[in-house]
Amino acid sequence: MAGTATKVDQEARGHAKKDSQMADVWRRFKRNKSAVAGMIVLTIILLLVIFASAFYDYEADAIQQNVYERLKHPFTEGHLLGTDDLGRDLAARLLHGGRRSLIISFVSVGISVIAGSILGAVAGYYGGLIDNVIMRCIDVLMAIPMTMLAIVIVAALGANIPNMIIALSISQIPSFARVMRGQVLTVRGTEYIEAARAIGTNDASIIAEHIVPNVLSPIIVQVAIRAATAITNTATLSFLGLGVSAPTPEWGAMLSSGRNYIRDHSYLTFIPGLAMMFTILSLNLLGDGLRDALDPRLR
Amino acid sequence: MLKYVIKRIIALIPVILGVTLVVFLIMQLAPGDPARMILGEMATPEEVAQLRTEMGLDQPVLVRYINYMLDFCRGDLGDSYFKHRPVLDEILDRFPYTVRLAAVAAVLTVVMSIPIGILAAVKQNTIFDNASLVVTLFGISMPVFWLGLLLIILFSLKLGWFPTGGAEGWRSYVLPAFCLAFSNMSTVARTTRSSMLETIRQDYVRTAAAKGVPHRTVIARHAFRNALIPTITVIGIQMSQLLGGSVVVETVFAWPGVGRLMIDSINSRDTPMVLGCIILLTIVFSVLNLIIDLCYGFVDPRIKASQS
Amino acid sequence: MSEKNLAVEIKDLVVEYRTDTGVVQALNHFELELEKGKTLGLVGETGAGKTTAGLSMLRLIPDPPGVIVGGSIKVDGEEYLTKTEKEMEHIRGKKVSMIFQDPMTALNPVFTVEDQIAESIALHEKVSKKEAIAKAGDMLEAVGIPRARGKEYPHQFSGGMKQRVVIAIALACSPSILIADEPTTALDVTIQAQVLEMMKDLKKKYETSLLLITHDLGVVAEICDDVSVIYAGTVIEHGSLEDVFNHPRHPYTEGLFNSLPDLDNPTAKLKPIKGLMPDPSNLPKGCAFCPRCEYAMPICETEKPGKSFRNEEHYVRCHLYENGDAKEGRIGKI
Repeated sequence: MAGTATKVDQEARGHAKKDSQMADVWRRFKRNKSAVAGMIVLTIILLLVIFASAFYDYEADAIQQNVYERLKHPFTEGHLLGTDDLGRDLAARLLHGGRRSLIISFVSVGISVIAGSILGAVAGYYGGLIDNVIMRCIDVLMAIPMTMLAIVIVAALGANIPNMIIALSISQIPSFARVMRGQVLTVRGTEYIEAARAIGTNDASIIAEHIVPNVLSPIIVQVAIRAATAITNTATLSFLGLGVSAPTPEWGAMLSSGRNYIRDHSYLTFIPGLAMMFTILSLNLLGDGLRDALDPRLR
Repeated sequence: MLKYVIKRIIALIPVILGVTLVVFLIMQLAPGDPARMILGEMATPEEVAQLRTEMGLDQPVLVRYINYMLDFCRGDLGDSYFKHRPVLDEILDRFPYTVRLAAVAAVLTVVMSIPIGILAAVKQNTIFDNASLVVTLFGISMPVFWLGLLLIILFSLKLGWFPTGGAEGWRSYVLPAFCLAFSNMSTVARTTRSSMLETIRQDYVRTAAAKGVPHRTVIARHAFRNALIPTITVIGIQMSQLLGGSVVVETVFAWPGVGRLMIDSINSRDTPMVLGCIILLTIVFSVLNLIIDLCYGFVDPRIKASQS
Repeated sequence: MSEKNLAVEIKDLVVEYRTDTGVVQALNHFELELEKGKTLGLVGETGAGKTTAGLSMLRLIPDPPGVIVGGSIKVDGEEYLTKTEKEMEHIRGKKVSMIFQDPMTALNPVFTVEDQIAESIALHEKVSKKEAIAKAGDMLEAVGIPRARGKEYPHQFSGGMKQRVVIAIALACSPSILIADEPTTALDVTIQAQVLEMMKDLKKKYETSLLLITHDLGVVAEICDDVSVIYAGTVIEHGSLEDVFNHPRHPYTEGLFNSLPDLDNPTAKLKPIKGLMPDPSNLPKGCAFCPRCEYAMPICETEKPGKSFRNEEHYVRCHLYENGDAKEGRIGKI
């Protein structure tokens, strides 16, 4: 009975410690005005994009062409941001297009963080031959500039959303694997891991209980930063004609088609880019804020 | 030193082999039959089959890869499907344009970013520091092609100062080079700032001040040289951005470089050309990284020791 | 009081570190007297303000967040707090030098050691670069390092050797005052003794006055003439080595000695001082040591104690002695 009591006690204390750590991080994060601003802007963008259908019907507003309403400039009646060359409402396309841009970016980051972290952790934890094989493969992928790797993969597989996600995921895996491996190597050498080994804890629980919590912060920061890059790369692929195809809206594709009207209707170029920049900007602010809040030593 | 360079060059060989293999295999996934594409829809199946044999397309992938690499070692990257000339010739025609643009952008990056980063750190929390933080934040957040289009709208279409594209005269360099440099510049300036802030607090900087070294000299001589190490690392990472970005910038500004050649070749399914472009750019990238690593040695004697 | 030939005289020095989270009182009416040619030990715990005291003499307190609020620092009769930055540059390394605690980080990793010594010489003495390097070589030999090793970089030296280099830098222009901040703390015990012995010799050779900042009473006993004990930014006891070691008056000083193992009586239990230093951003209103003091009286909580003199030199800041009984001593008798 006494034994259980202590155990419960310890667990409670463990939770309390975790809670206070989270509270600490949150307190530091809150103090950083630009990071909070980034978070708010990002939340607004996400809400607008997620509930795009509440504002504009996909088929009727974003896809349906309307020759009588062509190239209306922003703030004309009924069209807040104007219409594009095929008479489609730009705001509708922006929201529905943002949905695709963000889904592609976030899903690809999600895939690469999982795959990259596992590869990096396995390489770092086991070392030796496994490490060597994994890291040499990573080296090869790293030797190709990231954007180019994504371009080539999409070029070969064909331009559509799933292939874009595959291409972006693969091109991002190396950076996550590197960060994870570096972290695991640092943590692995510490005395508390030695101690856990010495009392016979098995690999799986060492990884789950000791290593993962300690390497989480840099990975979280990396996710925010990579999400920003992924949005750029998604749009880059579409812009180069290697992304989603017409009439599906997507920010990069919108920019690419707006480019043909750059002389007299520059808002078609300006507005999708602005949306993209604000998303990337807020992710960068968020990433910086998280980095400072999670690891105050870095400042 | 020389031994280290040779060792590093030898270490490049497996990486380049790996890259070519990966890219070669990826390109095999592309749908469609090259022979059919070259001959067009009107060709008979017999003609197509004959061309396939001539091109060696009926052999297993691995055999074709080995043949490709054997040719590669002889400086033969195959022939373009559509341009009717060797891939290497075409690439070498385009390559100088890419190098010139990237070099101008690289110089611009270094010349602008490092002084900005140092000044921002030394004048931490002043107007200059905050302004540079805001500008560089936009720099890292603007997609390159969007920046390019904005530059065209403002400086070519509205003001008419610079051409919208092409590569004739120094004017044509201004917009694409700035476009290519801006995001790199921002990243490097931010890194320089934060590593300067870090080194300014180091004990050895205090030692120098305690010797009576004037503040400016402490910053320029003692702090900066140490702050350079992370800065060089970031410049190395940005090389990848520079090459990746050149693909985009060359497309936006109709620049006749390798990047645009690659995109055109992708669109026309000219596999040997794509392969050639990417292998060349990868080699350039690897060599740049090697040069960056050697730079560490000049800055930091501890790294130099490990290199010899 | 007899005329003293003072190299350094600090009075009423107040230094604060002002951060977002609060104001830290690093030095509170700190005072210090260092006689020409003598060695003064400044003893106290980590965080007591010892390093801040040393840095303020060179006006090298990191600003922000450090601010010298008031007081006076006189070196050879010259007031340092009113000097311009340019004037201070001529003083640093030439007239007053400082050795820092951690030799591992005190040297710039990207320059050769002789360059780092010569830099100081070239700045303060009108000599060519070549002569400066030659003199740097002399300095290296003076601290027991072969001249030829001057061409090497700090990472090629051991900790003890690095500290010798740091000392060579500090003494390169024969300063009249040397501040040594925990010069041996980061070193192995055997190396500590060597470095101390060397500092003693060099001090004699260059006729330098030495301010030795340390928490190690053994080091103090080894080379100091006088001792000041600092607690929470204030000197709470000062006197000659003999006075302070044989007739400690302040309960804190007593506690410091009780925390040392007694070689003559190895079975005796150590009596560590209870508790921790008070939070420097929130110091007690009265005596800063009051919360940890065994002899605390009601007055200690509300009023700061003044000086009580045991002899011309030896004084203590403690309410216990305000009836003029500092001579006999009270602690241990109550």
